[in-house]
Amino acid sequence: MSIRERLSGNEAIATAMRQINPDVFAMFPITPSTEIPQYYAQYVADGRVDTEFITVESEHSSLSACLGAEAAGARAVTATSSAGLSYMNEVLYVAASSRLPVVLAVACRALTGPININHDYSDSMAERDSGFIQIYGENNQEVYDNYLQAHRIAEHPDVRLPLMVCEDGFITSHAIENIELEDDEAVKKFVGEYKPENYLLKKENPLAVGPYGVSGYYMEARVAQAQAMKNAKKVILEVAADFEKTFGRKYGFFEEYRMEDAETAMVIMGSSAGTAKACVDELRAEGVKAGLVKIRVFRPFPGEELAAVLSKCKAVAVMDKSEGFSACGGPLFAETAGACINLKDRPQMIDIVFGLGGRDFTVEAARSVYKRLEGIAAGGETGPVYTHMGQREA
Amino acid sequence: MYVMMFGVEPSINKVIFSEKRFFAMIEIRWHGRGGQGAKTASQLLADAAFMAGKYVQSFPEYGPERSGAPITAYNRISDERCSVHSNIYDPDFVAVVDETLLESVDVCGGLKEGGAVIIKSAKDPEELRKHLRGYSGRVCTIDAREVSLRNLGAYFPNTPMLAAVVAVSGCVDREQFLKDMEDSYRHKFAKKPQVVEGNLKCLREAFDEVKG
Repeated sequence: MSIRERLSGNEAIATAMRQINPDVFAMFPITPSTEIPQYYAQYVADGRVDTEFITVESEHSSLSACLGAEAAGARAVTATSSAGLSYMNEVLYVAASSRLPVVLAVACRALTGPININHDYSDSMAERDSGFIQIYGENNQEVYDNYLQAHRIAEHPDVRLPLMVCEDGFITSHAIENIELEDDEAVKKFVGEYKPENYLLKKENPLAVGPYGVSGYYMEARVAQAQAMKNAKKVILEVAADFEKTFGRKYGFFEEYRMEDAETAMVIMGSSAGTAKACVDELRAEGVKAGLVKIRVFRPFPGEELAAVLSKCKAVAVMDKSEGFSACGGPLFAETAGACINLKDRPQMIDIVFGLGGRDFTVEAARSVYKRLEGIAAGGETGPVYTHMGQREA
Repeated sequence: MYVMMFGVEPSINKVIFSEKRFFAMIEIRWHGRGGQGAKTASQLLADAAFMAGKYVQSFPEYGPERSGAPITAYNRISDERCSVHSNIYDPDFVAVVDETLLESVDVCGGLKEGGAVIIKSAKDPEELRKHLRGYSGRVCTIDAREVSLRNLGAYFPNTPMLAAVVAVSGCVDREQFLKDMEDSYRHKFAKKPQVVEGNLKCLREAFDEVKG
């Protein structure tokens, strides 16, 4: 039976962690993720969990401590944001290539500069090649549900990859909204115990973690890691199916919102998708065939599945909430356009970079995007492919 | 049509489209200074509406993080989950927890004429109207300091302010609100039951003493 509550995204994540009761939580605070270890410290102090809660001196160390714990066969978690995630960069790659399924909660925040504490995906997008699975939520409910599914995906024997559960900094992390929580015991049963086949301290099968890989072995290790990321696609859907059976809420690689006969569509992530959905509803009420695809799983990227959905559209706007400085579009656009490249009938596609450093995204802004798409779909020119939205002009 | 469906005045309620139907929603914007509790007040209002069975959003907007700087917090209260996560530009109601802000911030910016601004102040509403940059809608004040000192012997302005906002906005039924708050206080102050009555009196009296 679900429990009706109201929580911020951060408290929802901390609650999921408490219910799972991991072996190790190594923490270092950074806005806007700080509340996650803050709530968790209270659970530790109150004796509600028996997690080894380690306060370390930096994010490089918090992830390193998690990595050590995972190598020893423990379930380890941490949380961070922005520069904290950047400071983990080196260790992210070590965790992924050592196939250690750490679960990392990220309250996504802009990167410097100018220095800024608000939301965009600069931090998580900068780590898209780290080998972490990345799952994004639109609101506190989705972030909680994603967290409940995270360990099972990451720890699956066919995957064994670390995973980021991403929420929008402040917009989700600090907004209190209604949420359906699940019963502690039901969560424990769903997530299960972590029983790795092999680990550092297993005396029957001693092994090394993180040794040097000479050229004769390095590529095999990388290909195996790439295969694990491909395997993650199947496991993500299996876990989602079991989640739906157990708790009743449905998840996939992405959410198709009113896409059935959509001529124009946005590809968008996180809380902005919720705002854009209200715009889609307005447009639909006016008879405009608009739809939306909200990316939930960015790594592994569901290219084929997304292309199949977009192939039916005339014009698509990819909404990038980070600036990759490629001079030809943001990271979500690069993935989406790449996924569609071999379609026989491709929609015309534009990229819009928006919402950087907490710049607000409104229903009216979404409407202006659909307006532009309608023009393109009506047989007009695609126009400039890569533009920015919402900034003041000089 | 919306009036019939929801028994609310359409002019002060944003109508949001959900997948298959419309639903009514109240949007409230709070103005305060960092450290004064505008964010906390917006959370208390969300709690009250949540207890009354509503869907709620309460979220702060942070600028430079320093004590005393103007800050904004927001509420959406509705009968369905609201997926919009932008800030609120055309609120139904505005709550101001520090009247000195009226000089420097356009607190009524975008406020619907059919709505109201609720200001924590000992002054009469008409006295403050001249600072509201031409806002011609309803102006309300609550002397939260006086209500709090009288009933609690200390300065806890959020409690009367909360009641004033509920009274003016009508976002929660009065009796339901008072009953839920009593349950909440009895739980929260289980070890200090003597403060429960004072807080409840704060709420009841603020309800009656809102001016405007």
